[in-house]
Amino acid sequence: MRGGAGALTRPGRALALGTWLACAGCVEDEATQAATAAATPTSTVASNASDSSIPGRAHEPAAGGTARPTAEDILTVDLQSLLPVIREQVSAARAAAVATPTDPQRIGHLAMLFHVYELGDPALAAYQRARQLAPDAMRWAYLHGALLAQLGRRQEARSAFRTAHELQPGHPAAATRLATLLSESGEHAEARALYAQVIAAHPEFVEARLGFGRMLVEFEEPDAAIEQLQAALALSGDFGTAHYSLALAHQQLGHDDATAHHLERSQALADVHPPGRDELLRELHALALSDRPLVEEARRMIAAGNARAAVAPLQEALRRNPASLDALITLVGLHGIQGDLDSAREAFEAAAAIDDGIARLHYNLGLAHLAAHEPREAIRALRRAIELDPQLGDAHAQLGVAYQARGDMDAAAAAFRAALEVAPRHPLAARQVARQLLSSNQAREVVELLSPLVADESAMQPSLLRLLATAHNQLGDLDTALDQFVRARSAAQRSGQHSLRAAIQDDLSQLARQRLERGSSGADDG
Amino acid sequence: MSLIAIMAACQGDNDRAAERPDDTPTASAADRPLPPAGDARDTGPRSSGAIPAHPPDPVASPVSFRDVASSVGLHFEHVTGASGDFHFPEIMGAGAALLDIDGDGDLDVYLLQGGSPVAAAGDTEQPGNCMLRNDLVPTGELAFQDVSAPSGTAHRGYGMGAATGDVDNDGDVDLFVTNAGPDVLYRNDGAGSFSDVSGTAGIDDDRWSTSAAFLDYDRDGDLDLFVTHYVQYSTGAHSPCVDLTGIQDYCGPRSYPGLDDVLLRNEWVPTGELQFTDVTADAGLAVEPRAGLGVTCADFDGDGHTDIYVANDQEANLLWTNRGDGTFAERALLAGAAYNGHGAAEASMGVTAGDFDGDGDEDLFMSHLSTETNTLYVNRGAGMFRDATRRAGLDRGSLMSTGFGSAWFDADNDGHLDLFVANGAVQRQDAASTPGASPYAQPNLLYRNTGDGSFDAIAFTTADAPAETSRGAAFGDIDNDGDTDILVTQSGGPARLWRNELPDGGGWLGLRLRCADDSQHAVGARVALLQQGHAIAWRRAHSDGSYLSASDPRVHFGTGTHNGPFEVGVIWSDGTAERFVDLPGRRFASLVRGTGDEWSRDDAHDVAVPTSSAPR
Repeated sequence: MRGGAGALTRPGRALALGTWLACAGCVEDEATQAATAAATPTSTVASNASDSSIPGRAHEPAAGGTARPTAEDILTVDLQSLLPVIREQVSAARAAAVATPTDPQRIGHLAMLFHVYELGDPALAAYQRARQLAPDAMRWAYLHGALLAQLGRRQEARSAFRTAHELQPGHPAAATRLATLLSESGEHAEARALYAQVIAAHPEFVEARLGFGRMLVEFEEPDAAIEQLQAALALSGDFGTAHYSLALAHQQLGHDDATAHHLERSQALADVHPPGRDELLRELHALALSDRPLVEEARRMIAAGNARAAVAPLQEALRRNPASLDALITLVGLHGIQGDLDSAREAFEAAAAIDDGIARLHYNLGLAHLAAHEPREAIRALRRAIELDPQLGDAHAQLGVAYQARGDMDAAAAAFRAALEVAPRHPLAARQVARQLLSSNQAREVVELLSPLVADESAMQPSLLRLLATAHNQLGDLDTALDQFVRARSAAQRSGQHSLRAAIQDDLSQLARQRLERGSSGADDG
Repeated sequence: MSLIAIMAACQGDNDRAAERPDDTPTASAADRPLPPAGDARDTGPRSSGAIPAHPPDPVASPVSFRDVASSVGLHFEHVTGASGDFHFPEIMGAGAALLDIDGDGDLDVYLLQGGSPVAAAGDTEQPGNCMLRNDLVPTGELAFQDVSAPSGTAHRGYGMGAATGDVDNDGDVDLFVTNAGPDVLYRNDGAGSFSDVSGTAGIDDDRWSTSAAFLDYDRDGDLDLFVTHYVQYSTGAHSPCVDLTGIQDYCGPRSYPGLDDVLLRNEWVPTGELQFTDVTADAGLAVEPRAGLGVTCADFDGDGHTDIYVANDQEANLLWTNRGDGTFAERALLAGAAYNGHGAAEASMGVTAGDFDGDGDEDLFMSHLSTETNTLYVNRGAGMFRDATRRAGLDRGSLMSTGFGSAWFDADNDGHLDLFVANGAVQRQDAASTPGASPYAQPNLLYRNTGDGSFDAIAFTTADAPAETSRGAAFGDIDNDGDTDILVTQSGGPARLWRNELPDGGGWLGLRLRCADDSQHAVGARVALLQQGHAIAWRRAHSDGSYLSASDPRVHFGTGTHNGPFEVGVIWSDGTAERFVDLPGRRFASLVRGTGDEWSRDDAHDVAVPTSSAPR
């Protein structure tokens, strides 16, 4: 898809597993292996390599190249580049594996984490180790095969799946994956027999129906293909790839209408896939963190002023869950902060398509419009946010800012006061209301308003302290004013607000002159 | 220098090589005489001659390529301008063109340059494109001189690709340059000096264009231009993507809206200005915008009109079939060439059309992202295709590689079309496991056609020319020795010139196709090598295909052990056909339209028998 959530993720991303050297030692890429061996100009290169699928062989260092991680190296893989939340998860698994290095379950679990996060070489090494420690465990052979197949190392994958199938002949996924690889490598008779066995024993296993159907299309047995593909559709509902294969089968039969129909369905359902019935793969994918910790991490980054870095975890959250409203809503605000209104709108539309009734979503869009100097649109979005959640003090306060930007000061004042009604300690609203009160010489009200807000030293805002000091000054309480100005100056210094600090210093100088004029002493603020 | 020695997998082939007739020339490439200026070896056809008696049995030559770029003065380093902000154009690389700018009979080289993607247009601080003149003729030595400035082609844009063709029918090759920004049309004065005529010719598109191709879609005798466009990308509104582990990296094409491709009709008249008109909508080529990267033009359905195939990145590919009335119909889906055999859209980059199985129609091969195989679409006749990738063994090596420049070419002159694929990742790989290696580097691949419809995959790298981030690839006989050499560009690296060093070259025939007025307007012509008792070998006169690149427009036949004389049939792009006979082997010959004998494609059946066992 374009725009919306899809525009924020990276569909079609390449599987970042291994480098070319990783490929050089593999068998599917025997060509690469051969070429690496041909490093010397006089070498003669044959293009057929032997099968190196035996555990322990697959990861031998490529000739002339850099060794991949060994089984021992997996415990020392550098994890620093990972997102902190992912690093934490993998580190914990690795610590468990280090504690019991001969426990195949822990090594295998670590392998699965490497696998799910596409750290190919460590994952291969860890699976290999798990298989050595538990040679009779079907799951490690199977998952090892799944990873090898992902990497395009089909001969090794085939060997691993064969082992898995031999260890657990009744496992439909292992038999189906083996059948598919056999079919692709031209061993059609065995593939056909395996598919038939799986379908006989597990007629509900969609992957076998689909794989067999595709194989039958390939070998121009359209009637049999149609039977399997229709069964696949009946088992799991409509999905695009089955319709495409059905179209090819009908095309072979010269059924123009049926061909056109299934092509049309394949287009309409291009993004629909059958629910996976492969339990081990589901277990694998369930290991990936959900989107929530990633969104929380992004929010922490934004709160810490590191908006740019927050994009990464949000994108990753959306990759894992394209319908993550949390991530989309945060992205709207993040893009708004960054002044990228187009992207903010895209994220908003994606989120609104999922649920248009979330106040925070409209609030973040309002912020984006404000940052883009579009107060009219901001007011519309913020009003909608308040309509959805009248208790959202932030929305009231920002609505005040939007009115100010449009020059409607009365409406702004009302909005800031409304914000304080639902959120009495809202700093932005308090500041704005305090300013209005000061301008109308209502200093006592300002003291009442702000004093509770600045009691917490850690949460002190220098601008609020400055306003409070000014109010005390207006009331003639110069000592308290002096004390508040000094606190305000320190707070500005701590928070790096240097221009504010300079302004407060000017305030202090003026206050000192006033005290001197009144004959007071002790104006030295240190 | 780096040498890649690739031995044919079949020992039997080597045995046959040992039985090569004594009269077969065996001189090495270096020993062979080079053509003097004026192409004295260009003997041209004679009016009649005997049908060849020797069948074109495959010769079992070990294939070897040597990177000679630095030793022949081909010094070029592509600049991506990568600044850590991961601007999308930085990862796309740039292409190259092999073209004879001065008409001296050898191929010169044009290389597209990047620079900074955020630089202002025309920024003179940016590196420019590079034109290198080949001094093979008249010196006899393969050597290049930088003529970028004097040729007037040192354009400073963020360069992408090139297309070549004689747009004004004056007998010299002109040059179209695509950019991530405004494109440029250069008109050649015949001596290798070019003028930028973009403004007056109506070339005013400033969108991100990628590959382009010249074709005469309306058969009016001049070359029209098809330009693929990629995505709407702005450096100003850019946000990098991240990989699974949170590391920033380049985004994919689906992060941005795609762009329309365009068809520009050449309105040239002999006495007038060069002028192109955008006829995309009128020709029926308007379609939902997609991320186009590759294009190749050929008569896929055998109706005599040139069709257009567009390779799109992560979206369905397009097959525009020419209706013959100036309009096109898109029928990739029905033809089985929009999606792979599983019905999935793939990230197509480079694309090439050729008759690899010798059945007389154009088959398609395209290169893809890692985790996808490259894909072979076999033409089953009348432009109906079938994904035969795995059956042909072309999935080998491709799942781990992201392919770009690719082409059908006869690497070993055995008469069968082989394939080369330039590889390089677009997103960071697991760099931690290969310290010091570029996280985008991958080995290139050569697929050798075994002649039975399958291919052997052979990696194309050596210790001192390791895996690199390859992108463009242009193919041509740069040293005029009868075998096809390969110019490979890298994203952010030096260009490589892989010189084909077949030990004895095998038998071959090179053809320059020209019109009677000496114009080079032969693009799209199909040439049949006619040999009694053997299948016809078909080749097409073209420079398009691959990725962002333009290749040698001459037609090349590997002929195995047979050295001629040869007979060929030519079907020109307007449908007329001629026969040329008695063409000596191991030579380039010029075939001038209107000077051959009458011929009909149907006549070909009198001499040919199908022998292909390729997958259909």
